[in-house]
Amino acid sequence: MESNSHIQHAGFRNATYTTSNRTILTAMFAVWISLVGAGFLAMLIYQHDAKPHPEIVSRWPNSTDISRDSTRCNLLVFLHPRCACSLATLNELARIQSQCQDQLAIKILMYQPADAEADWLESPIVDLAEQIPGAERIVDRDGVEASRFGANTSGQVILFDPNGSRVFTGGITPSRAHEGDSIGRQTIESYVCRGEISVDYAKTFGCPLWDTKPNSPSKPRTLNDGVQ
Amino acid sequence: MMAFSENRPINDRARELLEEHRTAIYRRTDRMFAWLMLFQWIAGLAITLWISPHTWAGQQKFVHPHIWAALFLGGLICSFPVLLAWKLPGTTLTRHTIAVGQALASSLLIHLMGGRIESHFHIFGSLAFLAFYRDWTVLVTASLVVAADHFFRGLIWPESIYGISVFGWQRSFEHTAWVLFEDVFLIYTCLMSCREMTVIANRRAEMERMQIEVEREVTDRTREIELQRLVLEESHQRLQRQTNELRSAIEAAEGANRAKSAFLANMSHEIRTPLTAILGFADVLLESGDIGKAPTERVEAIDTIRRNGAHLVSLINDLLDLSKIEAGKFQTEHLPCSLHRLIADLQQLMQVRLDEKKLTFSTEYLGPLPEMIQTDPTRLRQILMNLLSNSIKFTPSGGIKIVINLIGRGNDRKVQLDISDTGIGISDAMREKLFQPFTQEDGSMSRRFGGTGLGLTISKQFAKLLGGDLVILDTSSQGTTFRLTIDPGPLQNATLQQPDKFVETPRQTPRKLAELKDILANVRVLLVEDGPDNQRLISFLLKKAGACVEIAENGQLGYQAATNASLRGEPFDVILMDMQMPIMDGYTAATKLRQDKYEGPIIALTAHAMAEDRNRCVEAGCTDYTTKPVDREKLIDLIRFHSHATSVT
Repeated sequence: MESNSHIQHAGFRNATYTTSNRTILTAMFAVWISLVGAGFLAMLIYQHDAKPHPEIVSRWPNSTDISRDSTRCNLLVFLHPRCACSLATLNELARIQSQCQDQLAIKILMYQPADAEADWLESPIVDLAEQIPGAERIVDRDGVEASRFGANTSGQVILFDPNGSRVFTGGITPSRAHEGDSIGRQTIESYVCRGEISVDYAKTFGCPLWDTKPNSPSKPRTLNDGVQ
Repeated sequence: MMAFSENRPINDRARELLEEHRTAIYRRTDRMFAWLMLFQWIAGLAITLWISPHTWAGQQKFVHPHIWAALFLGGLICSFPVLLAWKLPGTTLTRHTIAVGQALASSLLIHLMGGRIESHFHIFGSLAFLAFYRDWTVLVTASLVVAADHFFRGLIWPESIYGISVFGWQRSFEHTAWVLFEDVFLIYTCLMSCREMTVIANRRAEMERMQIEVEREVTDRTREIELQRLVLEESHQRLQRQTNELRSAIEAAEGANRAKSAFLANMSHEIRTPLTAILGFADVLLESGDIGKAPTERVEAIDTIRRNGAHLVSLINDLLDLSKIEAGKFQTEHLPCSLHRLIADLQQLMQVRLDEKKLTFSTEYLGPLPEMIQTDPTRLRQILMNLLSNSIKFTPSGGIKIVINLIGRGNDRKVQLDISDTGIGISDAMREKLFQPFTQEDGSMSRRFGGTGLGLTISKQFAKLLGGDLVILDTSSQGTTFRLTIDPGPLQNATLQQPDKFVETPRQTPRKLAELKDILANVRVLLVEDGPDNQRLISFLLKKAGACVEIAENGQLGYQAATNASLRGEPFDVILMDMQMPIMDGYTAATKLRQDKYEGPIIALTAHAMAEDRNRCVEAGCTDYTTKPVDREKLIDLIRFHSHATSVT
């Protein structure tokens, strides 16, 4: 009886499923798929919206407190501990470390405002950073070191050769908060492992390290800030 | 519902059933996907809220754009498929829209989860789930969306999907190939499932056809049963009518039988009553006075009267016996009986007739016999008497012989008596119907030899009642042999003896009237009898025996006389009560006397000779019973017995 009622029901539906209805439904489908496409497009635009970089240092600055390992390449990673998009960066960093092993000295600089709350560094980003083998975690108070190196976006990395010359700068994710093959990761792995380099720059997808509002407590510092 | 008639091709019905099945699956899966897509929407929003609730700029935080994407874009993706699943379930557009929506949901989820490789499994899970439709085209639609997503994004924005700015066809093909790899198995599964559904639909159509045929068969059988039931009911009614007619016929027959019994009883009574006087007075004539001086012709005339009267009594007895046998009311007794003694008595009884025809009589015992057997001696005597009478009757010269033998073993032993004569024999035609009632050789036989033709019929019936049979063993012009077998009763403890060991006891000869003189001296008898002839005869006989006889003409007078005598303190020693009388019959008089506590003996004296008459007399209160015509000795012995019993008491 159930199947019979189905037939009757379907028959009723089919009776009302006229040509005009079909046209309306087709139009609805077109509208729907267009809206969905627009949504995806907007999301893609957002994900590939990269912040322009200020002037990046070309050599390891003397003003920094971070020690440089002169026996191997040094990779500095600047992260905002609350930036969810940077989880993808850390996962990609873990892959780079896995690929390069001891040939690369990784230093992760966690941005911490001067007036940050006590739990500022209690986040999945920090926890994940601690799990990357051989990586040195450094708290960058008030973004002083980021300013010295010219970094302003969470997820931005700078690769220096053992002599302290900058080899590459940019992001290591294909888009915002998106893991996968990227130019940045390929370039770092290629240089560290084989000494080859094709590009020295890539877009960085992540949150700004500090507030862009004027006179904000965490405004960007000058290159000489914090120099002792 | 499309009725499945017998004339409709089975393939059409199978296709219809298959379509019903598919539609049911489509509708069910549409509902499942509607709920799944709503769940995915909510789950995507929750995951996004958990993974990336905010985006940051220093210490400033903002709602992450992924939240808005999960909320609005996710809701948009599932809205149209859910709407179609709700409004148009089971249609092609709905399930293909759902396939598109599910592929888009996978894409969104992958983005919201940061492109983690694990999140790509959602695509493969979605394809497997879409296989629930068992419609391979849905898989194609979903796969096309996935492939298009890769190709267009790879073409327009390759970094978003391959991480590099250069579009690589091989990457798009590789990603699509993995999807197709799964599609191959899922499409194969769908096709196999459809084939099974087709088989199921065919079987179901066949079952429906069989069911219709069975139902038709049941209907036909039910109709046949109903017809049979009607026929049976009609037969039953006809049988009922016939039963009623038969019952009426039986009642009529029973009524006729009762009328016949009543007629026989009345006839017996009416014939016996005058015969009592005839035979009794004939005896009186022969025994009173100086009969030796009477002329020979007179003596012969009196003897002729006696002999014909006796024949008439015998005829009546035969008729009554036959009537009782046919009515199934004849009952035999089982008393100890000496067969040897019985045969000797019969020989003695027949000796006069044997001597008249100068016939010899002999008996031969083959082996030992029990001294006593259990049977009805009266009926056995009647059978043998009948056979011997016939043999004497139809044997002009020669002799008669009885051969007695004990045959059989264990509990199945019989006494066998072969009665042979040297008579005229029985014709073959007669032999067939000899034991049928009222049958004689021909009319001349009856005139020549007399008889009613009842003797052998009754004898055979008696033989059967005695546990045996009576047959003609052999017959010819030199003679006839009848074989009688009877059941001797239990012989476990009986002693078998040779014939010469049997003790001969002298037979008592009938006593003459003179010998009975004063045997009833001082016995006071009240004779209640309405017939003046019988009054005179019985009172004469009793007075001759020395009794003091007082006569009452009916039951009322008899009752008064008996009552008055008792009141005077001089009760009668015996009351002889005729049972059928005017004014008050003997039954009523006996009953009233017993009601008045009269304790003296009352002997019923009646011409009713049926067995039930005896019971009726006893029930009325009579002490004993005897029939008319009066057996002088028996009557006197009976009165003497009861009068002595009274005096002893």
